[in-house]
Amino acid sequence: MRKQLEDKFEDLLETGSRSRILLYACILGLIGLALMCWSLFDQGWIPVMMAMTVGQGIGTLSLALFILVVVIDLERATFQPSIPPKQRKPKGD
Amino acid sequence: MVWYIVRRPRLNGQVKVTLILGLGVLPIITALVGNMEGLAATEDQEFCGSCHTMDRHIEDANDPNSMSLAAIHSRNHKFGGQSCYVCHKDYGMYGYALTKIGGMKHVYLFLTEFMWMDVDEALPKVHIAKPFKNQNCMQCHTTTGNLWGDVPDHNGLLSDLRTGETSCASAGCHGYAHPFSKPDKETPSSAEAKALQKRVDPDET
Repeated sequence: MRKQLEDKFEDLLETGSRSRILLYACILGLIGLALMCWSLFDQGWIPVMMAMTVGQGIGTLSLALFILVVVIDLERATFQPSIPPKQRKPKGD
Repeated sequence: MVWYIVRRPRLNGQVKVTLILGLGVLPIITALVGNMEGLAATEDQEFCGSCHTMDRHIEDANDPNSMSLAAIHSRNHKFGGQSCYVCHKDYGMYGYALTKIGGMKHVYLFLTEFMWMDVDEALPKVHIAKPFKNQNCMQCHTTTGNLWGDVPDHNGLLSDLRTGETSCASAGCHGYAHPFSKPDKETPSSAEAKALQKRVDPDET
């Protein structure tokens, strides 16, 4: 079971579906925001509880997905110095 | 975020910065404001009354003709719209957190037991989780004033009242705070009300 999950996660990273992860993150972020804003307009127990539990949980998950995408990007990036090192002059000149 | 969902732009640095605003900064600010507003809202009478099982309690507390402890205190502007919270909250260093944890227990009980009951069915079953502390009354009624000390029962029971052995809000003393929910309806007697009036205005006989 754990192996399968690890394989799926590796597959997700390998297939480069970062834009799909970001799409999920955006949708979850909108849902989380809507739940959190609901409690500002209607302060009964259901909106307040939903905002402080489900809303913030979904919002945190969406941010975590975004950070995951950034981490994947950083892992794949190849860093090159912007200023190339100076060429050493050959001896004897 | 809507822009990203609709346009699906290529993921570059600018898009990431835009998304961190939508997925990070904006939700965190909203959550902070929501927490402050939400926690403040939990102190209001309307919040406590948003569960239907509390309908009678709120009605009684706001009834100008009621002589229950809850109604008498709710008419005081120092309690006003937060009378439930002011009387029932835990005082002390961790009082705020403990009160909120207690509130979560109320939510759990409401969701698991009382949600599908109507008010008449729920009323005999609703009870306070822990005995009401006299210390909550003593936040205002310090037990040290002359007017308070002039009452013979107060003097006789002083140590018991301070330690909580005898409850202020019990039958025989000031009566239950929400007497309609008790089988033996106990409100402050008319004799007590007259005695209080006499102490406040001794010339009037």
